[in-house]
Amino acid sequence: MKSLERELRSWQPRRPSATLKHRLFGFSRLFRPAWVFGPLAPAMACALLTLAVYNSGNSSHSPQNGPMLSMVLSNPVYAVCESEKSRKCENDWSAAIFDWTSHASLTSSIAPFSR
Amino acid sequence: MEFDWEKLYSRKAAELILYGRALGLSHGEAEDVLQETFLTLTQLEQLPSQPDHYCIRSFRNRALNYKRSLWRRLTREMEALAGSHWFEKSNEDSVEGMQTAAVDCLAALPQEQRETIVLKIWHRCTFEEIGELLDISPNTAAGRYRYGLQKLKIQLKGENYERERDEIARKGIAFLAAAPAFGDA
Repeated sequence: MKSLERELRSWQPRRPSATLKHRLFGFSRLFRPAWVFGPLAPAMACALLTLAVYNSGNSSHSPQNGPMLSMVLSNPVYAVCESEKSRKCENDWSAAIFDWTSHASLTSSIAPFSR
Repeated sequence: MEFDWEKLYSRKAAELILYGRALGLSHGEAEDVLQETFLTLTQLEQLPSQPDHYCIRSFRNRALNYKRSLWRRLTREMEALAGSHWFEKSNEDSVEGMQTAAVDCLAALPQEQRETIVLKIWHRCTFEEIGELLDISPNTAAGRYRYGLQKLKIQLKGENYERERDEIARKGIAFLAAAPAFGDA
């Protein structure tokens, strides 16, 4: 029995095709997110921050947001104060949704209730 | 530290393909299941405590699900008729003949005996590990293995005996054909 076991063990099982390994590891190794985005993450964060600062500086609604943004970044407590202070109509959902109901003029020619 | 699945693949791929064959898949299907298994393994967030065993178990579950489809069963039977081999081809004719005979014998065994033999011989699992994988006791696993191997041995012996008998007969006929006729002497 032992000799049969040895004989069987000596046989090499048929290997899968080489393309399968390539499909599994060849591609994924090159484009693994950790590999690609790992070194780029700080640069991307800086770019995003710069864009955010410039965009807020150009905004017509809040010309003084640039210094405010840097202050908010240095101390998160200011973020809460700032969000409360800068609450305006365009960010107020209830006003935005129900505003049209306050106006009497309707664009439709059909009467709202047929009698 | 990240686990090297590629290394595990290099080590286990051929054995897993063979296990897939033992579970009744064709070579192509076993490759598909292998690909699915490793795709899932490489995306695991938490590393299993025993990656080798987890890999075999995962492969087995997928293989059993995979072979349920009727269409796949038909293509598998077509491939079986085409005589696809289970092992790397040997240079020696005698070994290749024995491999063919062994594959025929293995294919004729019940699946539970066949997979136990493959796990024990080519995956080098212990009976405890096989029992854990198949949800059976180690003694049952050992019984299946011994019973299956015994049948394999008997059939291979019969196969060898027939081959040797054919060989002797062939040599005898060749000798007689080469010998001069009585009248010529």
